[in-house]
Amino acid sequence: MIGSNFSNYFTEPEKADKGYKLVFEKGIVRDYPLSIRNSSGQVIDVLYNASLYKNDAGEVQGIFAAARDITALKRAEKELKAAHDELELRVEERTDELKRANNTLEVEIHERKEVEKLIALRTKLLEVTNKELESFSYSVSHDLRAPLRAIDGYSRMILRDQRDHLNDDAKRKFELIRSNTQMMGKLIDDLLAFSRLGRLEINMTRLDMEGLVNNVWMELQIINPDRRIDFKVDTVPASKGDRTLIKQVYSNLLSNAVKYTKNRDQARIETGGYKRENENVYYVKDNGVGFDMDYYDKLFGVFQRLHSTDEYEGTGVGLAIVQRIIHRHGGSVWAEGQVEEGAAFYFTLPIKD
Amino acid sequence: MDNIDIVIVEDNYHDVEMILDALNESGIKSGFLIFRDGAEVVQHFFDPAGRVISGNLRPPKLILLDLKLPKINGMEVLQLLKSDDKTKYIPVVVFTSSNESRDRMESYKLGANSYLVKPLDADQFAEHIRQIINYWLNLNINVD
Repeated sequence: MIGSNFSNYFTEPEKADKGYKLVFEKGIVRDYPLSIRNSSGQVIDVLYNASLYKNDAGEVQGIFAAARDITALKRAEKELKAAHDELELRVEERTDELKRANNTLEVEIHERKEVEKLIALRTKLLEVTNKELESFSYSVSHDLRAPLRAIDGYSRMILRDQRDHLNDDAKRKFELIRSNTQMMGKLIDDLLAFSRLGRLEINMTRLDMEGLVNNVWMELQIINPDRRIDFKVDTVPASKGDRTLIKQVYSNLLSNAVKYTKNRDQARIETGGYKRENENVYYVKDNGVGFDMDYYDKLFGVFQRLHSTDEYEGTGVGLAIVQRIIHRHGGSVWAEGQVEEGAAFYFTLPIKD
Repeated sequence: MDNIDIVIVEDNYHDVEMILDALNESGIKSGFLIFRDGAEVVQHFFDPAGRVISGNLRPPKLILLDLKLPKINGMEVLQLLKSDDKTKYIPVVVFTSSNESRDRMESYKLGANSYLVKPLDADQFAEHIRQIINYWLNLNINVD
C-alpha cells in the first residue's frame, strides 16, 4: 500500500477515515466493511481487520491492516436472500391457495349440508305420501267394497223374495246388477294388488325357474280341467328373484296363454329361457288369437284390453302386473304377436352374484 | 239377557240387515244383540271404572266383531275383551272387509278366535254367516 494513492484505492474515503480513527480509539477493529478498488480497477467488497502496532515502550508505531475479499460471500448472501424471498413468496402464494381451497371446501360443505337437508325433507315427504297411499288403499278396500256388498245383498234378497212378482226381463237385469257388482269387486282387488306391488319389499332368493313353471302349470290344469293343451317346457335357467312375485309373473303369462288359446283345436304353449350377456331371457309362447302389433303400447297398460270382455274375461291388469314386477327386479318385458297367429311374451332377469 | 247367544258389533246398517237376513234364511232362532259402535259394546260389558258388569255376564256364545267402528274401533274392543279374565273366553269372530295382513296379524295377536273377510258375493256372505253361527253355536264347545 505504501506509496499508492489512497483516494484512488478507497472508494469511500470518509468511511475509510472513520475506520482508521476507530483503530486508534479501540486499538483493534474487526470485519470493518469497505469497498475498494483492486489493482485491476474493479470495485470489490472487503472486510478489514486492523490493529495498532506499538513498540516496547507502548508508543504507536503504525497500523497493521488486512482486507478480506467478501464479494463471493456478499453474492452468496444476496442469493440466499433472493432464495429466501422467493421461498416466502411461495409460502404466501401457497397459503393463499390453501385459503382459497378452504373457502371452496367450506362452500361445498355448506352446499352439501343444504342438499342433505333437502334429501331429508324429500324422504319425509315420500314417507308421508307412502303413508297416505297406504291409508288410501286401506280405505279403498274397506269403503268401496261396502256399498257393493249392499247392492249385491239387496239384489239377492229381491231375487229371492220377489221371484214371483218379477218378470224374466227384470230377473235378468237383477242378475246383471249382481254380476257387474262382482266385476267391480274384481277391479278393486286388481287395482289394489297393482298399487301394492309398487310398495312391496322384494325378497331375493335363488329360484328354480323350471320348478316354478311346472308348479304354476299344475295349478292352471286344476283350474281348467276341460282344457287339453300341448304344453312344452324347454330348459329354463335358474335365476334370482322374489319367489311369490315371479310365480305371479308365470301365473299371469301362462293363464293368459291358456285363455287366449281356448278356441284352438290344438292349443300349444311353449315356455323356456336362455342366457344372454348378463341377463336371463324367459319366454311364454302360444298359438292363440295373438294381438295386433299396432296396439302394442296398450298391451302392458293398467286396465287396457285388446279383446272384449265378452270374448275373453279379465280386468286387463295381468300384463301391467307382470311389467311392474319385472321392472322392480331390474329386468324388462316385451312381446311379439300377430292376429290369429299367437303371441310370445319375453321377460328378463339380471344375473347377479 | 239370558237368551242372548250372539252379539253383533257392526256399524254398517246394510251389513246388519244382511247378517240378520242370513240368520233368518238359515232358520237360526238364537237371540242376538246389536251394537252399532265400539263404545256401546264396551259399555255393555264394562262399567265406567272398567269392571265387568256381572249382570250382563251370562256370556254370549259368540261375538261377531267388525273392525272399523265409530268411537272405539274393533281392535280396541277386542283388546279390552281379551285382556279381562271374565270376558276373555267369549269367542270373538272378526268379520271385516279388510284383508290387510296387518289387521289379520293384529287380530290374532290380541286373541281373536277366528278372522273372516266379508265376501262381496251375497250368496257367499249368507253362507259365511250360516257356517259361522253353526260352528260357534252348535259344534264348538265353549268354556263354562
